[in-house]
Amino acid sequence: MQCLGLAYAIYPLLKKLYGHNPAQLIRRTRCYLNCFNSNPYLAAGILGFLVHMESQGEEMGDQGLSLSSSLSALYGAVGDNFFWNGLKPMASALAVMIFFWHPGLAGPVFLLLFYNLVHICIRYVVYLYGVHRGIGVLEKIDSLRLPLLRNIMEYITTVSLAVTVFLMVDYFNFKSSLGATLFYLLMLLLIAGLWWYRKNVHRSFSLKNQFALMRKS
Amino acid sequence: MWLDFSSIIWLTAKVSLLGSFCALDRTAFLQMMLSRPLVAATFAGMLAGNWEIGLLLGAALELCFLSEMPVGTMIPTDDTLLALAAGGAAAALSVLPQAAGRLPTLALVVLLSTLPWAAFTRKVDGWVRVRNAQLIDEVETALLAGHTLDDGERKVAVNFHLHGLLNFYGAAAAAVALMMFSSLLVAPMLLFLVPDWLQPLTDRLLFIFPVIGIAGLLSNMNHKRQLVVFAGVAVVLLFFL
Repeated sequence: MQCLGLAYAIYPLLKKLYGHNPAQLIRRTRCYLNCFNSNPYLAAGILGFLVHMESQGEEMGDQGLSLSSSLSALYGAVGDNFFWNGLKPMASALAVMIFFWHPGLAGPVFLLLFYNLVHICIRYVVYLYGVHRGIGVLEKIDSLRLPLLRNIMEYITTVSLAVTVFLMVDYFNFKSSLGATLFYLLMLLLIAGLWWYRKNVHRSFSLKNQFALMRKS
Repeated sequence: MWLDFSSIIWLTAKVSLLGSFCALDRTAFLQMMLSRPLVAATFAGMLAGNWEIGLLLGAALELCFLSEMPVGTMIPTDDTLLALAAGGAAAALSVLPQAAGRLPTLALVVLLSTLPWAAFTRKVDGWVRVRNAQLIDEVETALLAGHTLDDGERKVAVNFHLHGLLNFYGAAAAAVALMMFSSLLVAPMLLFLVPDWLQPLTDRLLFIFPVIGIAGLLSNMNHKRQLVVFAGVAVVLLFFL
């Protein structure tokens, strides 16, 4: 489905360049309907790059398209890792922590404002770099140091998860100090048990299932 | 014991038709976190008349499925649909006499009646993606037939785009309606079965959902150092209890 979105997004440029020749316009549009799968946020950088290449002529547009298939895989991996494994868990963990600290709309509002500010800024920057500097967008994304940021975000997520467990004791209203301590220790024990289960039993079970499916196919 | 039938139909229709706009945000449109359970359940709760219980359910569900990442071709559980159905059902049922003073227990039984649909939400997402993948062939056919993407009144590209969105929206609305309707019927019975003496426990059992989510997130992390950090912070905080 992303390729239809890509064709739709680049279509105004194609129409401007080839609008005088409908056959050429259709041919160029079909070129953009090839399989395209990337991270939806960093795809803005690829779109900018394709706009840059296509506006230099049909031949450059073809080169851009052939290069975009490897770019989409690269940006897909980098973007998925940064946004889905880094930013999203961190924003969610912080929002839940805020909820248990101060029950009310502050949690959801924080989640919406924080996450959107980050991804809109990154989309805007990589798209503009793609349009103006073409393949130079790679340097820009490299300079953002997304893998390093992702590691830092993972630490922030970890700390906020630990604080969330602590705040839950107060939220679930344990009056006595002993009751609160026991509840806190019970939650930590459950987390340790579930962590062990997911790391060992659940993962090997999933792998066995995958092997069974592979054999079937 | 139950809501009257006209209220069930009206609230289910309202939450499924309006709330499903949040579900579009998940993959089809915007991706601005309107689909996160914390936001979606609060919105569903607001539509059904009690945003506070929706927010509580959203906070419980927010971390629960977060360790299932939409990386590559993996389709995770659609926690947006679960949050919409649970948030809407809990808010609707909060007016019942047997729910008075037992809102955390109500939230728990609504979640228990909604969570069995988790596998169904993955199937729904899969069906929509397969259907939308067929749209590419239809666009190709239109182009081969000589239409451009904005062919006069036909507006091929816009129509196909809207068609893709409509598939997502229709599937989400139908799934939320089904899940919420079933929850509105099942949850009051479960609530009725919870004796008063068990309420101090059931009022606090919601903690299990964030705990599952936290364990899932920690098991997804690559470095053992993060576990050390988690354990270190947890031990330090123990002295503040």
